[in-house]
Amino acid sequence: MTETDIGSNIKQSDIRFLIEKNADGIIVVDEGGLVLFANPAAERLFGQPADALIGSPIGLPIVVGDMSEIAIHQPGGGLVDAEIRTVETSWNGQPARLASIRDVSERRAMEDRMRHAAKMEAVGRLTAGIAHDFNNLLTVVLGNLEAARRRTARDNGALTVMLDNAIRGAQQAVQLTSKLLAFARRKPLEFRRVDLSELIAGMTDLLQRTLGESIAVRTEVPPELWPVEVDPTELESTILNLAVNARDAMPDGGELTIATENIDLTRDESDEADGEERPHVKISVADTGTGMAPEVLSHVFEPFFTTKPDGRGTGLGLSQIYGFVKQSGGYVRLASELNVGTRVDIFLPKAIMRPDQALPGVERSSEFEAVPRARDGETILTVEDDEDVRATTVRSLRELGYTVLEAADAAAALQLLNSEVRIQLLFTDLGLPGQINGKMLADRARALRPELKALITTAYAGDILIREGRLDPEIELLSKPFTFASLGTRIRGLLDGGVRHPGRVLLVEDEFLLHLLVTDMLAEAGFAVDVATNFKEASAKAGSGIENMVAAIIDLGLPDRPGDELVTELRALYPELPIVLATGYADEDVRKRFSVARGVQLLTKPFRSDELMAALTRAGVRTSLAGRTGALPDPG
Amino acid sequence: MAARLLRLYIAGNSASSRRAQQNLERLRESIGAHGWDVEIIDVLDRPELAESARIIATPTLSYEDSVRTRRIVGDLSDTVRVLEFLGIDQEDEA
Repeated sequence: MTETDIGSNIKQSDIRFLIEKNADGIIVVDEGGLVLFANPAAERLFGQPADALIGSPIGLPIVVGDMSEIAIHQPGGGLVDAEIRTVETSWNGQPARLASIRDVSERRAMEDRMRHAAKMEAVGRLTAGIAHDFNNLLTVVLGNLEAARRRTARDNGALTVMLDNAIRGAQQAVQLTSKLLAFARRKPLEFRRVDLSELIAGMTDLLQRTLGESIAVRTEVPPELWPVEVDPTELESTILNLAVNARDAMPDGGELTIATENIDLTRDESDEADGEERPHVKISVADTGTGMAPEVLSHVFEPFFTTKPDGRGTGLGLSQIYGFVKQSGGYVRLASELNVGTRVDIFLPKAIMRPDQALPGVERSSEFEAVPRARDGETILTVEDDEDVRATTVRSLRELGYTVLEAADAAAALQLLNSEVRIQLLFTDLGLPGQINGKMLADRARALRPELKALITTAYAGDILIREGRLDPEIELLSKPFTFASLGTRIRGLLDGGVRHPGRVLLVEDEFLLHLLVTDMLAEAGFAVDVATNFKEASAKAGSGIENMVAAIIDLGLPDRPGDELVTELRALYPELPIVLATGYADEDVRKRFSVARGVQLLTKPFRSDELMAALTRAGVRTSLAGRTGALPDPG
Repeated sequence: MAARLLRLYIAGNSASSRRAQQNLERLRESIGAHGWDVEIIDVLDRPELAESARIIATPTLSYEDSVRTRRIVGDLSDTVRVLEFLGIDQEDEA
């Protein structure tokens, strides 16, 4: 059957229907360039009814190859990007051209956003590279300056002043590289569950003082705001940064509004990979200032772009915010109008309930005058390939009183670790020459010596450390460049602290509220928790293997099968596994059976956190809280 | 003989506007610039000119002729068709 045959079988009214319902605009133009026909879609595209379009001198559409791009000018100034395709035809016996026109404005805008995102990505990589090298140099500069300063501590003369100035300069350079890394999404972030209303309420005083009296600060924070998981320090600096920008945009005063809102479903349209819409919390910082023109707006996230007069801004504020929010899994939207104001919307993903993330925060880099020192005989193995950085670090550690061993690469370090030498802590650079990087070295070292503490230092958090944009919770990290004080404090903290991540606990409990409660208790003690609500689920989880499982807590009354049978099954898989069997009504029979089994402890409901920890300890688990509450391992 | 006038209507610095300008420039070189005046009108800057000429799409090339003004719409990449439209026989002019 040929095309003509098909055509002849279709009724005239059907063809009319198809043309009128076509999503693309269809027009017919005569050889003189006048419009002869326009379908409803074309009416919408041109913003004119067909009777106005017919007779318009649009001109003869000449398209080479597939299609041509044109802009359609609607009455009133509207501009529509369109693609046009043409075929030659005849209309009332005269030669004519049929043009099909498709609106591509939306697609074009999307492509622009993608291009912008790709550019930011490229600039980010470049920035990260520079900042990384720079940080290594700064480690050497700052370390030596601080050492020199300590030696002249009692001298109040000119030398001290000069050294103090040099240290200040170096510290400012550290802040600058830290901003660059933030933009490049390479800054090691300390994610924590944050209540935004609390955080913002805590900042209003500071904001009002920073902004001065001519600017009114208003906050609109609804109750019931979802929690988010961010680095609170970075978020505070983001809000402060935006507020300072707002102040500079309102030289004659005005109003700054900080508003928050739960957004049920949204996604970052400029990020193709960000597929699904998810719940976010929106933080808006809006001013009533001078606003920005569109051409300025399209550049504001680029590093070193600033409209502030020379010296007033680094051009890194918004870049830093962009990077920080992206690294936190969110995105930023900007809206601005000249002489009306600017609004920055930050979208942060709603925190997912994950009990193992609710760990107590990492200790802050200390600003104490007295830096904690070594105890007798404590030995640290320092691994660093850069000789200058190593020399600086070693000197600082020796000054703190530690015995220090050095290695320039992982092989040399492993040789030392394999020897008889006593070593309490491994302090290694992440980037090492050869096949083994700092993280792998730390893993191997711990396999050789389970008691060894490991601290990794890096100028930036590369992919090795970051899983899905956040720091691997197993890693203790000290960012380069570090000060004498932060080095001393972190090392002391690690040597004194118990195991920060004692391991995973399998919790089998069908009562929802109870499993929340116990999960909290365990998380507080530093455990990660795997939850199962019945026998079958627990058995499947245990069967497929739980990494680093140190204990199981089982409710005796499970919905599908008795909990004590699960004990038997778990014991078959993990013969040494400490188990706590929780029960509200254990009969004598069960008590008898399990009180004799080694490593199984009965715990009567209801129980307090210290009782749970004590039971775990009696079952053979090392816990950090048990010691504090005074519970001792049962000698029996 | 009075110079003949070509008007190219474009919209800002868009890709199709730039292409149309480049193609027109190339055309002028190939046919010899004498005898042709070319005027480029950015309809974003001069909306009133676009309105009075009833321009509803860009790029549009308009051959202003006292007898009959002729127009084509597109980025002018089809040189042969554009010359044909202008009524220029390339052999003659060269």
